[in-house]
Amino acid sequence: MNAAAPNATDPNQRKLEELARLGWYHSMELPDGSVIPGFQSLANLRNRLAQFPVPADLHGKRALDIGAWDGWFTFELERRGAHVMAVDSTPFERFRVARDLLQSRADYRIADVCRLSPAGVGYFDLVMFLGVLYHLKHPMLALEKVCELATDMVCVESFVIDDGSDPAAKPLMEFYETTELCGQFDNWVGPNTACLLAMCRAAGFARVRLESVLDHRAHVTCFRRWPENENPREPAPFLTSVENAATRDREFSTLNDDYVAIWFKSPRAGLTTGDVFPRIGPYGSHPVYLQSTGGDGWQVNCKLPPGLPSGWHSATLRTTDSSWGSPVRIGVDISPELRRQRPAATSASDLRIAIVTDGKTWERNLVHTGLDSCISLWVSGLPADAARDGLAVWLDGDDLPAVFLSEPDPEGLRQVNAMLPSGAQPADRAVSVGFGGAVSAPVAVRLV
Amino acid sequence: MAVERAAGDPTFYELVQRQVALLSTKGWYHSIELPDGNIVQGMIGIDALKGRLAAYPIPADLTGKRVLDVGAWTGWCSFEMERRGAQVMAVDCVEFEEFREAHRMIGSKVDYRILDVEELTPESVGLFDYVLFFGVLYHLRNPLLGLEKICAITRDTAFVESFVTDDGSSAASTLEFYETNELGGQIDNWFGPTAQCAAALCRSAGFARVNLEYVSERRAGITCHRLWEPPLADAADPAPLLYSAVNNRSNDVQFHPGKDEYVCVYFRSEAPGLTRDRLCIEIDGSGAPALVLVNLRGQEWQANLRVPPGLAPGQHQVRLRTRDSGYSNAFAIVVENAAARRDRPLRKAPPPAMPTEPSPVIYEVRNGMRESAVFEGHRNEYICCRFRTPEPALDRESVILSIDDAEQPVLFLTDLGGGSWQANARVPTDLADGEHFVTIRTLRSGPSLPGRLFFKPGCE
Repeated sequence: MNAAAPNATDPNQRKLEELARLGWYHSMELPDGSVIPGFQSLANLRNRLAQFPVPADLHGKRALDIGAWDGWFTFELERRGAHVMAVDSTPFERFRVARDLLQSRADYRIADVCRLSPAGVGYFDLVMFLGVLYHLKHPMLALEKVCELATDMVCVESFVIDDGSDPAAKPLMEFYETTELCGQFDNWVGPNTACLLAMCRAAGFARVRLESVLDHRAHVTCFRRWPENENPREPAPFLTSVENAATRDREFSTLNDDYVAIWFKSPRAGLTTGDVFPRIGPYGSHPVYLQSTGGDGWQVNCKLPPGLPSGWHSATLRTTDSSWGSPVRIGVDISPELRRQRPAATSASDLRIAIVTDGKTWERNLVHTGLDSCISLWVSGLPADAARDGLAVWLDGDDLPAVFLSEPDPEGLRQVNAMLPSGAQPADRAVSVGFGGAVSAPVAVRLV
Repeated sequence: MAVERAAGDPTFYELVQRQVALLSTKGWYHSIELPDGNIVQGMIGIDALKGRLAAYPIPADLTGKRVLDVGAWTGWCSFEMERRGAQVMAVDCVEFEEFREAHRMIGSKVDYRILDVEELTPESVGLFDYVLFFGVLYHLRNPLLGLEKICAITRDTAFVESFVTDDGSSAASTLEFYETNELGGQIDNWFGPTAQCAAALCRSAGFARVNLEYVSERRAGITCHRLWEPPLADAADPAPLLYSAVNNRSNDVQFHPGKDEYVCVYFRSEAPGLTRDRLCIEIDGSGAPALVLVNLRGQEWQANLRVPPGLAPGQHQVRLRTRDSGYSNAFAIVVENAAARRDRPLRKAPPPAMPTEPSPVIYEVRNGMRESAVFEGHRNEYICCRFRTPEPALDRESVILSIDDAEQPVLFLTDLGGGSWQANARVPTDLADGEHFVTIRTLRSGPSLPGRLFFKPGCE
């Protein structure tokens, strides 16, 4: 006997029983304190959310809940003050019922993840991407789309095939052709924890952190920004050049898998990829490649972070204990209209070659001939917006392809690299540079 | 079974490094035979190139065929296909000067394009009888998306060659993920599948039949057919009867281009002990394998399949057979034009005060999943209602189907000819047990006399 058993004729109780018949996945707490019981208890749902550092106060924030199902996470983020959009691949009547019961103002949309774009739904401070990834055929594409929509933080929860406890585990993903996973045919991939983390990083997030693995569910927080350095103790790095790693110019396309190559100088010795923090626009992008270019010079490559709107953006970087380095402007999806808006190239005045060296050995006024022979010039008098493609390098009468143009160094000199023809013979020659109709005085160089 | 990892294997790493060193001294990747009999020596010899191609059932005579070579590199395969008589397009993600040079020296007419795999669509490059997809799959961040793009532009057969992580003996269907340069020290590798996984990816991409030709030195060759084998001349099984083919999310016949959508087909087959691999489903003649096959009861079956990639907006015919039967009747599905979908009116007009057309006459009511008018309250059940009307050119918006006076959206309407029509609609799952009445009217007619259906939840 249960004295507290509610009266079967109690209208509230009848209403709850009716609602329960809808077959809820999420339990739902109603404003009067009563609870519609679902497959997932409130405690379970709260615990899932508690795995992530989601702020208790989300006022003024825009949040996206992908794969909202009955909507518990949507309504919880709304309760914390966020403007929430909920997205699912099929419409759930229960979501609409719950939204009415809770008088929620969440914007409910039916869409596939891979078809979401900033142009269609805008940008979000916070994206919840819970329990969706392993249902997708193209998990990397989905993570890139999610990254594109997020301006700050994404919470990813996914089924994983391991418990995440082996730090040496190599990234591996199972592929489910039909019903191999739990007899359901809507599962496509099962990554191990290492693979999930690696895919999140490769999607373009600056930082990725494993929060926990509970019962084959990994919780990963993905951050789009680097933390600011409050007390920089090292001088800021100096960026000598930024280029598209493939096309070698300063323009990028979000349609390609474009990588940003940054050349910089840093007084910090023995840098590793963990010490370098590239930033394009507001977004961090972790290094995928770092090499010393000699002395205090370095080259770092990182992915162009997803979600940058068409236009001009600043590329910069800092090291572990420094402030941000000198920014360099790059173009993303530059239309002919935008390109025309660039300030007109001013003509060069006092174009002058200050230093001539071998591009590899840095020996002065001589260049070693042979395969991949390269000459480096330090030039003054180039206009600030000079680009490599407007630059000419002549070795006597030979027009050499310029392959690199740096930003001005503190003395205002810009480095120009040019490749020598492979059949160049040892001789005494003269080198000059030209830009926009101006030509420098020739400087002697010995080919050896 | 544990899979030996390819990434981190020192022997494999050394092999790749040797190849990279060799390439930098040779310059050319493929060797190329010139018309005068001379050979430009590349990293891969003529014999090795011929051997690789011979592992696939590529016809010796390709006259009149259109062939695409994806990831052409120096172009040996392109030029070989052209030599066999094909009209060839070669595609690569970066331009190779060697290709241009070989093209010139051979006097080739191969159409050379610089495109990413994601950019290959029926609109951008057209359709091809045969597609070569050699050495590209593992360089893609979305390998299944790449294979779908290939499937969408293949009319007959695609030949896939890929790095794989095992020797073909592993039953595991897994992919290694390479975040940076874990595989052979190269940064342009993203996923390494097992041979079984590579074959599964090909099947999932939409090919009807997939045949693993060889696995050797961590490379696999896979032939992917879009067509089923022709039906047997003396088919032993009776042809199945196809009840319907609907979108598994909406039970509608509408499909949305570019979405990951699935077709549920409901059919009757007298073939004893039917299995998934004996079922041949076709959409417009291209084979589409069943992902699941469920026996609903006796000879009633349900199969789910993916919508094959690349279906153009408009109507497409679904039909099926077993390996030992003739074809069933066809059932039409519709790939929507996204723009037309937005313009569809949402509300129906009220019944006309003064009908200008005679009322339709219902002559058959049945459950779309079987041959009776009994409904059990399953989520997937829907009603097929056949009726006669003299009105021409009806569409879904002009036909109103009601169950017990409650309007149900018409999901599907088809002209059966001779003034007969079929309308499909969902059946509410909360009907009371027993008999219910269906009526049909058009925007210009009064309602028909009622047809009957029976609701018996859980009667099985």
